[in-house]
Amino acid sequence: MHVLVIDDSRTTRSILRRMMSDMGFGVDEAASGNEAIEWLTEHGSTDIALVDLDMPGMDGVQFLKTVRANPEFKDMRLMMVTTANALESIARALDAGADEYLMKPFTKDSLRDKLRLMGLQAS
Amino acid sequence: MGEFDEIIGEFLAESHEGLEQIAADLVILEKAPGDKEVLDRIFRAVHTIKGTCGFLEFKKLESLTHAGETLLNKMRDGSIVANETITNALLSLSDAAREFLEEIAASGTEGDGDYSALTVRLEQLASGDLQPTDAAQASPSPALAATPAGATAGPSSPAPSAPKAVQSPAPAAAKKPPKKKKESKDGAISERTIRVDVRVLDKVMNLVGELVLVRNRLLQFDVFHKDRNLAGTLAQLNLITTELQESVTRTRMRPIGTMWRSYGRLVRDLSSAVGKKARIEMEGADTELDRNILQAIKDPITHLIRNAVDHGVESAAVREASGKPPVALVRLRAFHEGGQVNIDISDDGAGLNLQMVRDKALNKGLVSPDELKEMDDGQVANLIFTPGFSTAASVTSISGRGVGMDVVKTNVEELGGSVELITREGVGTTTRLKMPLTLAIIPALFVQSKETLFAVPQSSVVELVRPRGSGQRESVEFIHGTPVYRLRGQILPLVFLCRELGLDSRKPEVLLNTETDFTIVVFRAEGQQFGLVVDHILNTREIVVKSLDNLLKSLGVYAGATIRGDGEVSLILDVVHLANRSGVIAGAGSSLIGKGANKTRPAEKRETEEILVVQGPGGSQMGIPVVGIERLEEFRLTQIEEAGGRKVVQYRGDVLPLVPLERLLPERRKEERESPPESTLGLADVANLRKTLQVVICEFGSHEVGLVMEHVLDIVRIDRSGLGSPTRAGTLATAVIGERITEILDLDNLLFLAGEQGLVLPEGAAQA
Repeated sequence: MHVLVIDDSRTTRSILRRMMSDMGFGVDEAASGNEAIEWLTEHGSTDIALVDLDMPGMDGVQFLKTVRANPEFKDMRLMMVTTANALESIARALDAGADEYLMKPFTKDSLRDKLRLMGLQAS
Repeated sequence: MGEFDEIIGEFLAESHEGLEQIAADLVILEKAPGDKEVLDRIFRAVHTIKGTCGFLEFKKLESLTHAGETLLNKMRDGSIVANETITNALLSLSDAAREFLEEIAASGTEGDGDYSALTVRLEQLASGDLQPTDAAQASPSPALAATPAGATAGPSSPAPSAPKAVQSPAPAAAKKPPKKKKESKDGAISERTIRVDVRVLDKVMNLVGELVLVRNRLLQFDVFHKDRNLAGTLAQLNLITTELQESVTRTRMRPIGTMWRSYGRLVRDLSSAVGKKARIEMEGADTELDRNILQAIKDPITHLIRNAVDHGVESAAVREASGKPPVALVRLRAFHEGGQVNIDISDDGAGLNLQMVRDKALNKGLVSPDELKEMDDGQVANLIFTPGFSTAASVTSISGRGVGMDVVKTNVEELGGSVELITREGVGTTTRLKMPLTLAIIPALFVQSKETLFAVPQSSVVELVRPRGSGQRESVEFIHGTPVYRLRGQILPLVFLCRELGLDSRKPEVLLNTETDFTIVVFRAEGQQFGLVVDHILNTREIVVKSLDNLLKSLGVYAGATIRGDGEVSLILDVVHLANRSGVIAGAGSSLIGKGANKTRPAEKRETEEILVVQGPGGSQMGIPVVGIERLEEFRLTQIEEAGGRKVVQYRGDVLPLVPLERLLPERRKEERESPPESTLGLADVANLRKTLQVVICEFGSHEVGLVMEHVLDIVRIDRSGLGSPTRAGTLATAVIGERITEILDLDNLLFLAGEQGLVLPEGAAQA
């Protein structure tokens, strides 16, 4: 299983990388929507992307829309990672094609639960 | 939490970067309160800190940044417009966050700092409870409409999570996602960079230096040029190496803007602290400099900016009266010129008061009236870089205590740079720093002494002098065994490189007679000039500086080494140390004493000076400034007693220690140190010879000391402007008196030396 972590904060990326690799995922990082698209173009696809909402350049919602508009990525799961005071944007994220959302900060357990709900479990 | 311990370092670094960004952006925001892009950046930085704090369980910092984030979010959607209260609160937020980070770095916890009041204030501001209510309501009004409307009309990203978006002036823009993904490339670029340990960079730089040197050697082999294939490959290697060298040099470069970021805040805080209005403008922030140089010039530039705000610019009232805009402008400008980087720090203030500078320089004895007369305005302005000068009429807490401009100059010159000042009365002042691009590769002059080549940094060379023809040997004179050269009427002490390094230990007199040719390299070190005598001048080259092993470094005369094109190693001379070691310039210790003396005896620095001319050891002529002398006395040999192994006489009911002058004056030449008794005469010997002792009595601290002379010859009045450079420690200057070259003694320094050598009795011991 592979995950693409998309967040403009490198600290957050490191934290997510730790959590995901502890759960047995292969991890790659992107610092913005654009970088993520670049990565996808180069590597094909990934099993799941954890997408931050607020990023410079292409933000999370735009990224979700771009990915959902491309049939090549139809199997890719998308999880919006957002903060508590952005409730309105959760709705927009789900509209834009996110499968799930998770509010920061979260623990590894809650992340694992969400992933399980989505039917994703790395060995 | 512990789970993320190794991530905390990353968190601290990222958060500090964010705070730096916030500080710079808040200043921009003051000018353009509705700038969406700036607001986005500030929001994102606060948001990131908050988000990561959540994971790392820094609860207090999280709730503080959360309050800030809420406020910023409202500013982003236009429902609250930035004003001074808000900016101040956000600045406090960034200060508080910085304190948290420091505490976390130190202890790993948030500490017990209480920032709940600030949190509450931010919350109130966000809810519109405080002043911003007015601003929020006023925003759609015609007067202010332009800013928020303009800000919301063209966002590069949608404004999400706007609770009251419906009420904002341009809800359509907020709802409709922008059709064009107009990439602000900044974000992409900053994330395409990686952080590298500086030590790795240094190592890479070193290796490239090695590679360059190996390449230079290869190019010298003929065999490569005979074979066409080899020659082609070699040419390619040559090209790639040069390119590699340039690229690696660039990895050490940082845009000067990274350092400038904090200056916006500095000017803002400073100007409000001194009750003036000032803003800062920056140009050429992307100009790149070696990171070591950047670090080293940060403080000097800070100092110059402080000066500009504190002393340079006028108060708003004065400015308006003279028809200037009330808000003063401090301008930073960086640009490349002739392989160097120039950094201008300008203000549009009143300019230097040159008359005040003239008066002060005279009062402090930094220049003589004659010298001053010959100076143009530019030279007068640059007097403020002289040690001991400070123009501030009153010392304020902002600019410190008058240590300043000379320190700036010293720091800059140490890095191989230079500093100059241009000022126009009523128009403003510009200080220009000229810095080399990098320290690792410097231009150097190669000189030859005997069979050996040495490199000297080009930056410290003043001029090259080649005494011509048959008179060249006669052009060198000797003062107390020190060779000197008269250069345009000034006396230039000489150091023979071959003797100093032990390549040829014959005396200068002998060397001068045998050498057919020599060249004098004139250096300036610690404000004094001296000449280094070498056999040949070869060429100037860009050299790669290699550091020395500690064993060689401790010798003090070598600053480093480099490898020449022919593969041989050349040592780089440390000119300042060389001069200090050979005694031609006074070291830091004695110059400090000199300054103290100026303070206690300002009369000493007059245009003319009374000098007691005496015959010193070895028959040489010496001068003592009369102002430092208490009395002249003659003692009979029988009066001399011994106390604690020291010679003393009873004098006016006290014990007067006697010190022979030749014991004090540091000698320079090894021969003289080993040499015959005549120059190391003991007190008794002198007395035996003449039965009486001529003694100059001077004050040393709370008691008196007697300096033993050979003869007192005369008292003359001399013009200070005719004085030449000192020849060694313990001397102030050289002068020509009665057609003889005369060393003027520095009494304070000599007595200090006497104290150090234990030649002067401590008071208690004298009584015993």
